[in-house]
Amino acid sequence: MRRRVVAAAALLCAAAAPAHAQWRTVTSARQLQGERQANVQVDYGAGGLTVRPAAAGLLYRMQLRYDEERTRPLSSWDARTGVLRLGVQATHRNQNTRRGGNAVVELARGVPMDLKLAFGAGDASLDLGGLSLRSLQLSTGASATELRVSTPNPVLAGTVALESGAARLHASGLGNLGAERITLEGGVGSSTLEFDGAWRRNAAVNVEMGMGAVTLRFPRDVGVRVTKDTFLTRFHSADLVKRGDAWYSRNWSAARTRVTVDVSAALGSVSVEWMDPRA
Amino acid sequence: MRNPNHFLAGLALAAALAAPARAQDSLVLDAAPPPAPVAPLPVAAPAPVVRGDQLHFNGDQTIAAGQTVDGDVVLLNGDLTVAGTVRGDVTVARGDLVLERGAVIDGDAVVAGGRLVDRGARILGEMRVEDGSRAAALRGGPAAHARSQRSWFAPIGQGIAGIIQTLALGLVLAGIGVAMIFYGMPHLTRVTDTIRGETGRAAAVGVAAGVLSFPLFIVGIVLLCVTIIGIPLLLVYLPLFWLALSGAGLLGVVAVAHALGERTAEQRGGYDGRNSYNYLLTGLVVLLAPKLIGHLVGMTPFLGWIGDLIGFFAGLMLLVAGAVGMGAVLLVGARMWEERRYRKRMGWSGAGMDDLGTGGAHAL
Repeated sequence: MRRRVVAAAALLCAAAAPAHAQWRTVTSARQLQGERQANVQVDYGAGGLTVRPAAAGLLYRMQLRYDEERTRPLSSWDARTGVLRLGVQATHRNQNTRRGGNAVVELARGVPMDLKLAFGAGDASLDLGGLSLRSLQLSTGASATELRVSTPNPVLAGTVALESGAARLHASGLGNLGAERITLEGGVGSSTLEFDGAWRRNAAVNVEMGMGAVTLRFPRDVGVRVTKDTFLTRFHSADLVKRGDAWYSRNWSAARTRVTVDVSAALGSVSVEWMDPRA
Repeated sequence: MRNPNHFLAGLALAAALAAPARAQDSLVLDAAPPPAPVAPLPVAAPAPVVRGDQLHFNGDQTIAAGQTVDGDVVLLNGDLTVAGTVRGDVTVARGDLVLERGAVIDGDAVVAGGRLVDRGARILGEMRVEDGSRAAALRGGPAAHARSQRSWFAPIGQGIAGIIQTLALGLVLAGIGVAMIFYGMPHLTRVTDTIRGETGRAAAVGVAAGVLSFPLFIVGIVLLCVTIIGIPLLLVYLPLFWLALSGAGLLGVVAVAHALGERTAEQRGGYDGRNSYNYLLTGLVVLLAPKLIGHLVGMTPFLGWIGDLIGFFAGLMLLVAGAVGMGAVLLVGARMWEERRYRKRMGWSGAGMDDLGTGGAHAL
């Protein structure tokens, strides 16, 4: 019955909404009920997106400003499967999503989760520090995305996959993820990956780039080995020594943590740089 | 109240009687102010368990600590304070929902046009706060909404806007047509003849061009990228491709209008092959009149759907005209290119001859 009641209210609300372009705001949240894991998918078309950890006791909290004419808010939680879907959903096909919307999505800190973020156009600020990430999949279109992992991931992440279309992606604190494998698929645009943070195990990094610029920044205490398969791509390798088919950092043999980087690029530039520890 | 239809009717009735919306929209968790004293339940039965759904409107309500509602609770236009237990959903429209410490909501807690203040309650479902504009739309209820959606003036405004748009389109097409007649009559004549003589072929070419335009566009980009030196040309190619395609479509529509005008004049017996401006104007009227009629009919209160239907077919007609016209433009363009190649191969200078070989004399 309660579903019917809410459905009736929602129906009335929906029917009462005017047909013109209307910006709506909605806030949705859900308390933690002892969830042990979550499979989180955030879909957002255009506008500003912020993702950060939620306050204690919340599974999620989402504050959304959306164009009611073209999109509808998406917040569904399936307790049985642990699937949480947040963001907006287009109501009509072949319609461009208007800019002007924004979403602030906050996710539970203590729940191990597989996080999938799909973002279209606009600006995204993602601070995933404090989240328990088992895996991360980030897909951005024509956007400027700032990804930060400001504190160590309480669990070790398996795979971190970053897809960047015609976008500018800046990711920092990737060492905090504790990821086994990090992949970057870049289309047209520039991507900067900073691998600072608390490294706990060796990792493999795969970079596949179409046309653009990729900058990889490593802390000086991490051993780095780079192999590349490139075409018409400039490769800047500061302080790397070539041995055989690969480039090695000078500390490769002695480093406690080693990162192997495999780069495939068609057109553009790939730079490997070093970063000093943050103050 | 278990019947959802009755519930919906009650909700609509309450909404119709409701007062203006509030401006606050927020979800407040663990708010700083201490819990307000729980007032005695004004309308609910004193029994600790209230069975069935609860619907209230216009006034503040409280579910006291220790009290249980075995069903949903809906309040329209008022604040609801919950300190007890609700074994269902709680919905508040245009009012605040305050959930005191110790309160339990088994379902969702939904607020439209107000605040949800959680002071330490346990909510098993979703907490959701919608903005006030949705609730404001509830103010007049569904009937008022229907009026606002389809008021007497709304279709008139839409119709006038549509007429202005159509007239503007006609002016643009007329301008292009006049320029074509003045500066490129031989080409217009060839396209017009192609439309009249090879309508099916022109339509097929136009449709094929429309379908293949995007793949061709992508192929062009890839080719320019592969050559590397062609990458700067992308800046020109990207806009120029669609500009050329749109131009071909517009020229095609103008040529179709010209052909229609000629045909109309022939049927009336007034064709003299000289007044192209007349043909153009007549053709544009024939092409755009259904669109205008559709808008005019759509402005009438009860014939809106007929107007929409006419508008749909008028749009379809313009689309077909565009396809046929664009196809004819492409066919003529291809033939002219072939002719030039042929002349070059044969060593003809073509001096004093235009593309039609008529020496430039064309009747208007």
